[in-house]
Parts: sequence; C-alpha cells; structure tokens
Amino acid sequence: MEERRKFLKSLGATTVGATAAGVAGSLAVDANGEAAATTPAAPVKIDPRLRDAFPDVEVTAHTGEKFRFYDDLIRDKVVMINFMSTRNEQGFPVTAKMADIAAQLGDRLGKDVFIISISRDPAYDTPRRLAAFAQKHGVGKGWYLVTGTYAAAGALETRMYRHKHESGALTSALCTGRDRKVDIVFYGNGGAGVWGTFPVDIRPDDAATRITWVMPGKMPTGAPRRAGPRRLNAAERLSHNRDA
Amino acid sequence: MISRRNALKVGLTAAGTGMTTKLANAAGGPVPQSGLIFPQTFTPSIVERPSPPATPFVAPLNVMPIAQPVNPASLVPGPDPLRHQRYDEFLPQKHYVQRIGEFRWQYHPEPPYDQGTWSWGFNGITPGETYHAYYGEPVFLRRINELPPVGAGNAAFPLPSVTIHLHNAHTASESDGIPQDYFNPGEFWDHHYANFAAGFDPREIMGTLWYHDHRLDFTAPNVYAGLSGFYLLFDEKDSNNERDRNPEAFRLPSGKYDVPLILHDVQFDENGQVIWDFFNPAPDAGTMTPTALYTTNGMVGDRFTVNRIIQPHFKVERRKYRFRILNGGPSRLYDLSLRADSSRPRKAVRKGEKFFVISTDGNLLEEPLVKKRIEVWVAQRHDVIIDFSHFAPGDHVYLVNHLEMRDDGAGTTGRELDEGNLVMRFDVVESKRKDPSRIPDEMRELPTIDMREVRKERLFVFDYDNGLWTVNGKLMDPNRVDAAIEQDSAEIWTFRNAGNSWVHPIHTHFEEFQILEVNGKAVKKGDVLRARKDVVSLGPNMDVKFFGRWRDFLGKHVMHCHNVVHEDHAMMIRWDIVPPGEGD
Repeated sequence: MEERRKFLKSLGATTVGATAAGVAGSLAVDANGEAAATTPAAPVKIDPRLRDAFPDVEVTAHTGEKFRFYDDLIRDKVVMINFMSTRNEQGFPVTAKMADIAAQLGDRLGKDVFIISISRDPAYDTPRRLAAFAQKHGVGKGWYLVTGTYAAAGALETRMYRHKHESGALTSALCTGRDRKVDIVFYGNGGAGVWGTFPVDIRPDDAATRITWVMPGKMPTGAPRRAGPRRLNAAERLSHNRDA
Repeated sequence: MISRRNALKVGLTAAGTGMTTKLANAAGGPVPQSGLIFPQTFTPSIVERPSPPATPFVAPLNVMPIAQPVNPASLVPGPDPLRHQRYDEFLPQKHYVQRIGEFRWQYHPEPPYDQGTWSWGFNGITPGETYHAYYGEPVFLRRINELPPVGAGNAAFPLPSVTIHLHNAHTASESDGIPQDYFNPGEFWDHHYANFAAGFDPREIMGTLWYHDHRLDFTAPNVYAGLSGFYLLFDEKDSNNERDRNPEAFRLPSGKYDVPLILHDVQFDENGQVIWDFFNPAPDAGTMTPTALYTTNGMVGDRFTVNRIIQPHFKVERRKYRFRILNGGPSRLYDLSLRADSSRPRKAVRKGEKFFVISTDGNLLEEPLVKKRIEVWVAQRHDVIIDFSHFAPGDHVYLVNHLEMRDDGAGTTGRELDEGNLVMRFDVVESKRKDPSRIPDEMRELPTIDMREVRKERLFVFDYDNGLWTVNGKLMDPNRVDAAIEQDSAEIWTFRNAGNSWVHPIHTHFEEFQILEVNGKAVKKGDVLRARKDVVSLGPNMDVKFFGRWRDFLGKHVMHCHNVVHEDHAMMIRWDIVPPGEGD
C-alpha cells in the first residue's frame, strides 16, 4: 500500500494541469530537500532526426547544477549513461559497478569521457539524497548523478529503453530493484551520433575499452597495419584473437 | 509450419492480455492520457515518417560480380602461417583482398534516392562480391578497413570498426569473424578459409554461405549500413556447371541462372539516407500505458530491397533458375510465395507458382521439396529452383511476402497477409537455348547421428528481462566461457523460448546441427527442418532439441539471436572448443 500511495502521488504530479508545453517541468525541492517532482509536465516530444533523438529535458545533478540533458551533457561528448536509483542499489548494485568502471577510466573521466547516471526514482532521489549517495560511492569529476521531474526522468528512460513494468517509469515509486538481474550501459559519442550498449556486469577493464571504440579517431595514414589474428599460443586465455 | 503460425498468434494475444492486466493492477486502475510520457497518439518513426516513395520494379536487380583472386605476392606483409590453425595442411590456393569503405549507393533511380545513399560495403559495392569457392581449394582473404574513423564519415550510425563473419563456414576461431575480433580504420585482418567438410565427411558439404559484420555491440547498424555478401561453395556434385558430364553432378542451374538474392528492409529519410533509430521506442497505441514493447525489439524498414535495390525487376528466360534467398535482416521475418500475372490458363500457371526447395541454411537437402511458401527468418537461407517455363513471355511473376511485422520491429503481428508485400518482380522472356539444368531426385544424405558420441546435454533458455534479451538469464560477456565443449565430442542442445510473444532466429557458429525434436516431436520426412542447419526458428514457448558435433579446430566461437538488435542487446554466449578432458 505504501508503494501504491507513492506511485499515485507521483502520477498525480504529472497529470495535474499540464501547461508548460514543450518543457518537461522543473524540479521543486522543499526546505528539507525531500519533496520532488511536483511541477506539472507536458508529454515530451521526440524527433528521431534531432539530437540523436534524446529528449532535451532539464535535469539536476547531485552537485546541485541544472543541465539541459542533451545540450549540456551529451552534445559533442563521449558518454556512458546508466539508470539507477538509490533504493535500487542494494537489490542490484549498478552504481558500485559504475564506480569500478570509473576507477578504470582514471583521469580520462571528466576529460575524454563522462558518466551520466539517471535516477529512475526521481520522486525519492532528490539532489540531496543523490549527493549523499555520490559521496558514498566516491563519485568524482566527470560523473553526474541526475534527477528531474517524473516526466523528465521517464522521458529519458522511455526513450532509451524500458524496464520491467514494476520498475518502469510510470511505477518508479515501486522501484526497489527486487527483480532486477541484468542491465546495460549506453555509451556513445554525441558529436558523431554513434551509440551502443554494453551489459553492466562485464569486466570493468572491458567497459573502459569499449568506451574508446566511440571516441573520435584520426584518419589513418601509411600502409594498413595488421590487427590480427595474432600468432597461435595454446597457453593464452584471452577473449579474442587480436594482436596484443 | 501451421502449428507454429498458430502459436505466434496465440502467443501474441496471451502476451497482450497478460500485460494489460498486470499493468492495470500495478497502477491501481486506468492511467489518464495526460500522464503518459508518450501520448497514445505516438507512432514509431516508420509510421510517422515513411520512406520517400519509390516506384516498384523500375530498377533492375543488382547481380553482384564474382570475386576475383589477386596475386599473393601483392600482399604486403604476406600471409603468416603461424597465425592460423592447420594452415600448412590447407595451403591457400586462391588469395583475395576486400577493402571495406564508405560510398554512395543508389537504391533506386528516382529522387531522392538517385543522389545515392551513404553506405558501407566491400570494394565499393553492397552487397559485396559473390565468392565462388571450391572444396579442396583453400582461400586466403585479407580484409582492409578503409572506413573513415568515428565522426569523419557520412553514415553516422554504424561503428567504423568491423569483424567479418563467414556464416556457417567450418572455420577456425581466428578466421571466423567472431564479435571480439574487430579491426579499426587503417587495420587489416587475415582470414583463412580451409574449405573442407567437417570431419572430412562429404555429407557435411555446404553450399550457400554469406559473410557479414559481427561487431560486438554494433552488428545491427553495421550490417544495416551494407556489410553483407555471399560466399558460395561448390564440389564435384554441386559443381557450378549445369552441363557437367560427370554422372555424379547434380547439374543445378548455374552461371547466370544461379542468382543470390539477399533481402534487407531499410528505412530512409527525406534525403534518401538510411535511418537507424537507435533507441527505437515503441509505446503501443491502444494500450493505456507505455507498454511492454521495448526499444531493443528490432529495426523494421518500410522499403523492401533485394541485393540493396528497392523492389527490383529481373529479366528471366523461360527455363529453370536457382535462387539463393537469404534474409539479411536486421529483424524482419518473411513468408514468401510466388504469384504470377499471366495470360496463360490458371491451371498451367499454378504449376510455376511454387518453389523446388533444394536447401535450407545453405545445405542441400536429401531431396528437393515442393513448397508454395517458404519461411525465411533472419540469416536463414533457402536455395530454390523456380521453373519459369510454365509462364509465357511477357508474364510477370512476383516474389510476395505474407508475414506482417509489427511497426516497432518486435516480431510478427500474427497476421498473414493475403495480398502481401511485393518484394521483387521477375519479367519472363523467351529462352534462346534448351535448358540443360536438372532438378535432381536425390541430393545429399544426412550425416549419421550417433548418440554414443554425446558427452553432454545443455539447455539454453532465451528470455526477456528488464528490456533486454537473455540466454540462461545472462547477457553476453566475452570474458565468460558459457560452454567448454570438448573437441571431437558431440552434444545435445535444447533451445527453449521462455517468452510467450517473442521469436528468435538462433544461430550457432562453426558446425551444422540436426534437429531431433521440436516441442517433443520428431522432425518428419518432407519437413524442411529435416536438414543440416545453423539457425533455429525459435517461436514463442518453443523447445527445439538438436544434435551437433564440434571437430577439427580449437578456440572461441559464439551462439546468438540473429535478430541482430537482440544480439547487440545482448542475446549471445561465448562457447569454446577445448582439448579432450578440459570440458565443463
């Protein structure tokens, strides 16, 4: 019942007086920083031909900064994007896995690549809660935990992919992660418009390699180089046959 | 076939009902329209912004040229035998080079298509050249990546880092083109195709193979951009000569009468450029909430192309032809028939409106089967003979698709189309010469199934979880070996679809298998499934059990869903062939 009340509350927040056409509403935080997602929102329009079809909604980061999701965080950047919620973490520790990947990226994070973790539980995940959560997971430079209105977070989630009904956008208050077993990280290059995904539970070094695949490359010069296969070696246990 | 079609329908209905109830309960009642992220009026881009019109049957069919070998001395650096298993045993007799690059390809002569569509392909064309290879004549193929690097190209959605898989070849891991073996702009990869029958068993000889990109995480966009082509294998029986005097030869239609057809469905924008909708959201109009139709469903285009030409026509003589029909994906499934527009009596015409199916998944059957319909799921192949002598000069014969797909790419609607989609048109003209080709009574015997060779039975459950596509509850991890198979052993695998609405064409690399049972029932004579196969059509709630062998090489391979959008999200496992005694 508790969960259902929360769900209805969050639903109400998006249904009353949808007036701000074209804008997905903004986040309202009370004096305690606890209430959220109270501003009405219109449905978010998406044009697949623009902005790689990302909704350019307003989000607020754990740092308190406000961003346009596409213009400020995606355009011309190489990014990894995942969905999380603070209440989900115990059931499915996705932020811990992202922290392992962030550690692999080292000082490239915040310079060559950025991580955006979108809360799928925006009614609960206020910027203040996200800030505390970020501290706990050692979230540093180049990594933003973001939240927004119910509609804004939902638009992003709905646009990119959706989850089990129990934890989907419209039922985000039910988002406890109890059934969550698999998840993916989106990665791409906003400047080039190329996007892929990898499962979140691959090895962190593998994840750190994959993000390099979408980084801008230089036009090759000279004779082509051999990429593989490498010389046979029965003792090796690598996951591929490329030259080392 | 009928039963599976019914299963598709039932499955879809059941899924719809279950979903609505579940969501209604979760939400505590109907959800108002204004609460939706996407309103009910949302339509997928394929419906909202269809491709520009293109008059059907205006463009002639593109018949790919046959690949020509190069002088091995021109390869610098030369081949390195130490990089390939059994190289010295199967010394290459022909050497080839493919340069993978970006170019404008004309899908259709009318505007806006006449400006050319930025595409990727091999040696300047898509599909790439058709290879004619022969058993006993090993091939060395160097592929050079000349694509522009990320951000520098005109086709933005694919990844300019590729790995080219030779689909159903009996090839060592390092030449197979597994997803992990990518090469980047400015790099090359050497492939050694030994062209011998698995276990040196002539019953394992194959015929219609194809090559395509298999890049980890990016197979769907890379194939969609154009990276596919045919590789045909011949032997003394299927000898590429319809006038062959060898009494063992099948004398199937050959030369210009042997035509590979690769079907891709593509969506274009107003400038005639290919659209790839990455996240492809699919809220379903008519239900009350964003639904269980997810963004990783699949990609369906609204323009039917054959050999990368929109609805082409092809002039055919009044004689027999061999067509090698391949569904190149990414996600659409076909149920194909022939329909003639003829001046001749209906009874006579009906004789021509059928396929003599001689192979499935590229492997000649025990005997030809006469079928009015052929189902072709992604990556599946059927070699068919069509006898146009039943038609009159001036007749038109259409290749028709009857299987309707959902606009979101997720699968079939369960509806069969009577009128259907006209995929291409054959224009019949008089034949100048007598047709020397034959439809053989008998072709290849099936290899023996010996249960004493079976070391292990495995169950693979294909499911849907959290918007993603799982095998035994997991997503692809190239660092995890999901099955360690002992070399020279046989295994029995069961593929189970735990979903009640999804369909999956499941492909496993390296060696063909034989289906033992479908939903507990044995495959009967006369069924196209009684064959050597490499793709399983896994319908909703279906169980398919097969017998397979793993011989001749060691190393890493994969098994995956060939709806390449499912594959990228990440319905795939890695399996290894390991030395005897080291299996799991």
